[in-house]
Order: sequence, then C-alpha cells, then structure tokens
Amino acid sequence: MHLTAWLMFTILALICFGVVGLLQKLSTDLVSAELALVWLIVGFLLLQPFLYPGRALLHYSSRNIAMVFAAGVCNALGSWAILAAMKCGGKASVVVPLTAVYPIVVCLLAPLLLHEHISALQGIGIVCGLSAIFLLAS
Amino acid sequence: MLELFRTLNQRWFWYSVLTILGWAGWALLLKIGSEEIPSEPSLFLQTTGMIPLALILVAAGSSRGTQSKLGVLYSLLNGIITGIGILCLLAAYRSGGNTSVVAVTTSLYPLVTFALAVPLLHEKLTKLQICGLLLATVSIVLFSL
Repeated sequence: MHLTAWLMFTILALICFGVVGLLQKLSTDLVSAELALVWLIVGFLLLQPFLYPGRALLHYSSRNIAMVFAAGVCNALGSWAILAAMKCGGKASVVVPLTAVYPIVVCLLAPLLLHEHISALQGIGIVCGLSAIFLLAS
Repeated sequence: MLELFRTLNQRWFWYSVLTILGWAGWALLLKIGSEEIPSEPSLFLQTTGMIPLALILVAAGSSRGTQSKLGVLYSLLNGIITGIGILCLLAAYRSGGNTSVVAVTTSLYPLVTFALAVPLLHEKLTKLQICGLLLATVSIVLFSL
C-alpha cells in the first residue's frame, strides 16, 4: 500500500491528538493539573526553535501579534481546565469528546464578532454538539 | 435524567465547560489575528502566549505538590506530542492534502482517545455516552467541513 505524504502526515496528526487525551489523564492521575500544565508548556517550548520566524515577526502588525498572543493565553487556560477536569475524575473518553465541541461557541459568536453567517451544516453541527454534551453528561 | 443532574454537580463537567470557552476564545482570536500571520510564526506566538500562565502558576506555587517523575514525563510528552501533531497537520496541508479531508480526518481524534482509553485506562461508557461520543464526532466533522 502506498501512502502519500499528506495522508501519512494527516494520520500522524490524528494519532498524536488522540494520544494526547490519554496522556492528559495519565499525567493528572499522578500530578496536579497546574504542574501538568507547566510541563506541557515546557514540552511545547521545545519546538519553539523549529518555529522561530526571526525578523519576519517585525513585519506583522502589533494588533495581530497581540491577538495571536492572546489566543495562546486562552489556549493555556483551556488546557489547564481540561487537565483540571481529568484531575477531578472526568474520564478521558468523556472529557475529550465533550471539550472537542468548542466550535459550537465559535459558531454562535462568529456572527456577532466576525460578521459571519451560520451555514446549514454548521447549524446541524451545533444541534449534534449540544445533543452530544447532553448525552456525554448523562 | 437523575444522572445528568448528578453530573451538573461534578467539578469535572464545569472544568470541561471552561475548556470549551477557553478554546473557543483561542479559535476566535486566532481567526482575527492570523489574517496576515502564517501558521508557523502564529504557532510560535501562541506558544509564547502560554508562558505567562505557566509563570503565574510557578510563582504562585500552584505547580508544586506531588512530584511524580512519571507524571512529569507524561505532561512533557503531552506538550511535545501536541506540538508534533500540529507540525504534522501543517505538513499535511503543505504537501498537497485537501483542506477538508485533512481537517475532517484529524477531527476524529476523540475516537482515537476513546479507543485507547477503554483498554489502557479501563474506562467504560454507557450506551448513551457512546451515542454522545458519536454525535460529538459528527458535530466536529460538520464544523471542519
């Protein structure tokens, strides 16, 4: 069987994101959510040398840099909360799909903040996602 | 229904809701801020944005407590594997992958977690929760189209 490069990278990404859910639970079984987050960020930082854009950073507007930086702050907050959820007894197989429906909030806020419209598919996605939250919590 | 009300009293549920809000904020800010910033510099800046919370936790002493080496190793791997996953995702887009196919395929990650958590963590889900897992997957796939 011949795997094209993009398909191989896609499958690798899928496996990585799936394994992360397992590691979140395994880590918070042994350490606090806060310590787990600090080391998670250290792990993330190890990749920074591969991503460092050099002087190109100076060419972007400070507004957009601030927005992306703030996105990182929100990501850290969300990551801490998912670790805390698992530390408080949430099962990985419930918490991971439950939190994966965050695009619902994005879809609901996008018309207000980004002046985007909700498509029919996204509408169905919102209904499915809300039903999923209801069922996963039951 | 009784089980649902019981869950609403569980802290893990509300932390999960906070995760949803945090990641929704991340996605919205990224959407606005990434208009002119390509993926890799954006990832560099996002990671930099995660440092303040880590510093606050270290300064506040919240990160102390049980220092299990294995727990630290799992947490470190958590960060490294997430980063590798993101780099693979970017590489998939760069090497000619159809955006929708790549996005839909990678959005199936809760199924991978479920497939691993059942045998390795001995987690069990009720039939209703399995339906919830499948509906969540359908929902994520629809959002990624």
